Amino acid sequence: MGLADFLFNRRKHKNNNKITAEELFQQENISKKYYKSLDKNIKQIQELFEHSFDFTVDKIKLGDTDACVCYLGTMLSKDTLTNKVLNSLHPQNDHPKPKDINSIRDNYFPTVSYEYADTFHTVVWNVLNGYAVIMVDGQGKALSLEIGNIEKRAITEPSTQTIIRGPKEAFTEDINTNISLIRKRIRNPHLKFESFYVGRDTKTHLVIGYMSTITNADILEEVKKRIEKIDIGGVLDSGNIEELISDKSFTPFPLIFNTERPDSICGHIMEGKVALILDGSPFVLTVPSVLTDFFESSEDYYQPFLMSSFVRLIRYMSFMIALVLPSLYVALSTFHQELMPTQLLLSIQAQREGVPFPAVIEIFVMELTFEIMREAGVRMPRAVGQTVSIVGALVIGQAAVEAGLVSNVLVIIVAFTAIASFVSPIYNFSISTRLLRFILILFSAIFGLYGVLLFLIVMVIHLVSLRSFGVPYLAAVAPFNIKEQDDIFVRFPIWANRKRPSYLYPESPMKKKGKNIPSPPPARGGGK
Amino acid sequence: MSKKLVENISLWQLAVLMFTFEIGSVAVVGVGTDTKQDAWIAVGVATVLGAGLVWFYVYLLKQLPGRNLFEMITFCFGKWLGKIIGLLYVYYFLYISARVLRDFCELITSVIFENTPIEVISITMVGICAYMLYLGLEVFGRTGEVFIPYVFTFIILIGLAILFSGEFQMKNLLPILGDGLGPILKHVFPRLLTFPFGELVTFMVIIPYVSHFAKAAKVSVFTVLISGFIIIYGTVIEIASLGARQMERTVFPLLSAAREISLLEFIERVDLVIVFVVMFGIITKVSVFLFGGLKGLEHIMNIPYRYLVFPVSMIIGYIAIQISANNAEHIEEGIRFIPLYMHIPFQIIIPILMAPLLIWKVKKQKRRSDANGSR
Amino acid sequence: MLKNRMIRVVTFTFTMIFSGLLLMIALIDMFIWQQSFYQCVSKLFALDEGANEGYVIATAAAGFIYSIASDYRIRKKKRSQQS
Repeated sequence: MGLADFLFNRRKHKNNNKITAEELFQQENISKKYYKSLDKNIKQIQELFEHSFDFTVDKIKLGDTDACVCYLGTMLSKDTLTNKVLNSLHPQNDHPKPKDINSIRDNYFPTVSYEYADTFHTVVWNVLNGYAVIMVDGQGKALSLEIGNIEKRAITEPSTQTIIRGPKEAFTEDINTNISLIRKRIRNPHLKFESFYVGRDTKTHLVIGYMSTITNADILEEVKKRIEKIDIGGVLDSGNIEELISDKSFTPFPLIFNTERPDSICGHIMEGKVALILDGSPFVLTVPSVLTDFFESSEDYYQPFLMSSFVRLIRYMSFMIALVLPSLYVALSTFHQELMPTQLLLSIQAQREGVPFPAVIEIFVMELTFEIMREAGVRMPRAVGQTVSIVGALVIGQAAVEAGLVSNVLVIIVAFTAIASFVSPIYNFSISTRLLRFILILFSAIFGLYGVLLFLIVMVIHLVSLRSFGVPYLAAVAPFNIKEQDDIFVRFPIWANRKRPSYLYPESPMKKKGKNIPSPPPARGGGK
Repeated sequence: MSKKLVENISLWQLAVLMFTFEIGSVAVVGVGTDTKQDAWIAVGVATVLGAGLVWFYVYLLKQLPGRNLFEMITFCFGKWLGKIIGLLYVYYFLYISARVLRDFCELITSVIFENTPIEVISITMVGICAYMLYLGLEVFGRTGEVFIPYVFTFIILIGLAILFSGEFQMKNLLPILGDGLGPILKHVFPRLLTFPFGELVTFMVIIPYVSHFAKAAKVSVFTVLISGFIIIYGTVIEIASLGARQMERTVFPLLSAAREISLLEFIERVDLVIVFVVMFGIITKVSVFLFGGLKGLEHIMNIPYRYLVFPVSMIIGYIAIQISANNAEHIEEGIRFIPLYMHIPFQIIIPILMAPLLIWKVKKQKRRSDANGSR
Repeated sequence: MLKNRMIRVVTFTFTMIFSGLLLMIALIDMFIWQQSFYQCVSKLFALDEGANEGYVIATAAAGFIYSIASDYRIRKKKRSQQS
C-alpha cells in the first residue's frame, strides 16, 4: 500500500530524474500544506523540530513584512550563513521594498544558489539538508538558500587497497566528493548519475553512475528495479545495499564488487558496469561482478603486462593454497601417508611424534587461534596493536611448538595459508576463502582426499550456478569465451585489449578500432 | 502441464561433456584388454564406427529439430507404445548409471581409499550428480567447462611422465596384428562399439538443447574422434608400460600404469591425479545417464524433472550397491550380459527400427502441412 | 489418464523405478547365474554381516520420504492456484 504508492509515484517522476520531498515524506505523519500565514508555518515547523537544540528560527523584518529564517545549525557552516544571508538581511541595508518572494531573492541574495519550496514537505526536506529557509508572511512559497559547507574528511590514501604505482586517492564519506572524483577521470557527457533515496527512516542518498553509451540497458533497468524494491528502515553503509540487491544471499562468495579506489571504479564503469555510490560510505559498489574481478587490482594495468600477468597467476594460486593447503595436510598425514614422498613423510612424522593431538584438532586449534588474533588485531586500539604481534608470534607460535603442543610443519602451514589468504586485492573475497577453509578441513578429516575433491567439485558446481545481475559468476571461464581470455588469467598488453567484456553485453562492444602497436621508427638512411 | 525448459548449452559445452563422458569410464576400467597388444587398433576401429553411429543419432534428431529422444519415440510409435518403449529406455539409462557409479566405487574402495565404506562413496557421488542436475543443464555444462582443462592436461601429462620415467617400452606393443584381424573385429562388435561409443545414445536427450543445433552433428562426430584418439593414447600407454599380460590381469589399468611413474624421486604416487580425472569423468557420465532417465520420466509422467531429481538419484545410490555382490560379479555381468542384451537393442536396434518410421512420418506431416498451407 | 493420479505422481514414479530396477537386477542375476527367481530376490534383500548397507537403505528411504513430501508440496501449490 504505502510502499506501492511510493514506488508508483517514483515511476511517475522518472523522467525528470529528481525525487521530490513529497515522495520521501509520504508515509510519515507530516502535513503537506504550506500556509500563507507566517505564524501558522512557524508553529508547524517548531512543533516538528521540537526538542532539537540545533534548530533555530530567527524572526526578522523585511521592510515592514514579517519573515523568518530557519535552519539546522549543525548542518551548515555558521560563517557562510552569516556572510551570505544574515548580513544582507540587516535592517541597515536599504533595499527597495519587497513585493514578492522573487524580488526578495533578487534584491537580497543575488549570488546565493536557491530553490523555492511551495509545500511544507519541501521546506522540511531543505532544512534537513542544510539549507537556510526564509519564510515570508503572505507568500505562497518559501525561499531555500543553499549554505552547505559542513566539515568533511579530506581525500586520503586508500587504507584497505594500497598499491605501489597509480593514483593514491580514495573515496571519502561525502557523496559529492566521490562523484567529483569519478567525473574528474571520465570527462564525458554520457557519464550519467541518477539519484535515489533509500531507507524509510534515514533517507540516504544513493547514486548510480554509468556510461549511457556503453552500459547494457537491461542490466541498468535491473539495477534500478532492485534499488526501487529496497524496503528497509535505515542504510548506513554500502554493505547494507550489497546484501539487499545481490542475487543470492546464501553463498560465501561476494556477488558485488566493492572498492574505495576511484580509478578502479572508473575502469569498471568504462567496461559497462554500473557503480552504486552511497552517501556516507567510502566503499563504492559495481555490478554486475564476476569472480575474476576479485583477482584484479587496478595496479595490474599500470605495471608492465608481463609482470601483472605473473602477479595475477600468483593470486589465483594463492587462492587455491589458502583454500586447500591445511586440508591437504590433514588428509595426507592422517589417511594417505603412502602418497607422500618418503623423505618428506619421515620428517613430518618425526616432528609430529610428541604431539598429543590428531592432525585435525591440531590444525583446527591453530587456525582458530589465528582467526582470533586477526580479529583482535583489527578491533584493537592502535596503541596496543603491537601486543598482538608479539603475543601471536612469540607466545603462541614459538611457545606452542616448544611445548610440544603443535608441530613445526603445522605452524608453517598455518602461517603460509594465512598470508596466502590476504593476497586477494578485495578483502571480501578472502573472507569467503577463510570460511570455506574450515569446512574443507572438516571434510578432509572425515573422508580424506576424497572429501577434498568432493568439496572442490561441489564448490565449483555452486560457483557456476551463481549469477550476478543475470551475468554468470564465472563468465569468460564458464561459459567459456576464447576472446575474453586477454584479460582474465593473464593480461595482454593494453593495445591488444580492444574489446569490452562480452558477458556484460555492452552497447558498444569495441573500445577502439585500430591496433596501435608501439614500434621503433623506421631506420633512417639505412636501406635505400 | 510440464514446463518446457528453455535452458541451452553451447556447442563447446556439448563437446566438453561428450569428451569427459567418453574418457570417464574408460579411464577406470580400460578397454580392449582382450585383444592384448592390439587393443589400440581395436579402439581405433571402434572409434571410426562409433563416429558413424553418433552421426546416425544426430541425423535422427535432425528430422525433428528441438525434440529429444523420448519425444521422438512417442512421435514414431504413438502414445502408448511410445510410453512403454520410453520407460524401457528410462530403466536402461538408470541401470547403466548405477553400473557406472559402481565401477567408480570399486576403484576407490579397492585401490586407494581402502577404509572408506563403498556405500558412503556411492551416496556422496550420486549426491553431487543430483545437486548438479537439480541446478540444471546449464550448470552441468559449465561445470564441465571448468574442469576440462585439468582433465585433459592431466591425461596428457600422465603419458609424458610415464615416458620420462623410462617405463615406456615400445616392444610391448609388438607384434602388431599377431593374431590377425579376426579377434579384433570380434571384440569391436559388440563390446568396444557399445561400451564407450554406443553409450552416446544418451546424448540424444541432450543434443536437442544445444543452441546451434545445425552444427551439432559436426561437433559431435569431431568430439568422438578426438576422444577416441585420447583413448588410443591411453591404451598405448597402458600396454607399453604394463605389457599385454599384466594389463589383462589388472582391474584398473590406467591406475596401475600411473603407479609406474617416478620422477626426480619426488613425484611418485600420482594416484590422486588419476582419481580426480576419473572422478570427474564418472560424475559426468552418471549425470548424463541420470539426466537421460529423468528427462524420460518428465516426458512420461508429465511433471518437471526437478521434482524427481533427488528421489531417483537416491535410488541410483542404492541400486549401485545392490547391483552385484562383489566386483568380480559386477565385471562378469558387464562382459557377458550387458553388451549383448542391453546395449545392442537400445543403442542400435531400436534407433534403426525407428529411422524409417520417423522419416516416413515426418514426410507425411510435411505433406499435410503443405496441403494446409496451400489452401 | 494420469490427471486423477497426478497428486501422487512423484511417489508413484519412485516406487515404479525402485521396484523396476530391483526386478531388473534380479532377472539379470537369474540369467547369468542360473538361479531361481526366489533366490535372487532374497539375495537382494539379505543384509550382509559387517557391511554398511544400512547407509544406502537409509538414503533410499530418505528418497521415498522426499518424494512423498514433494507430492504434498505439489498438491498444496495446486490447491493455492485453484483458490
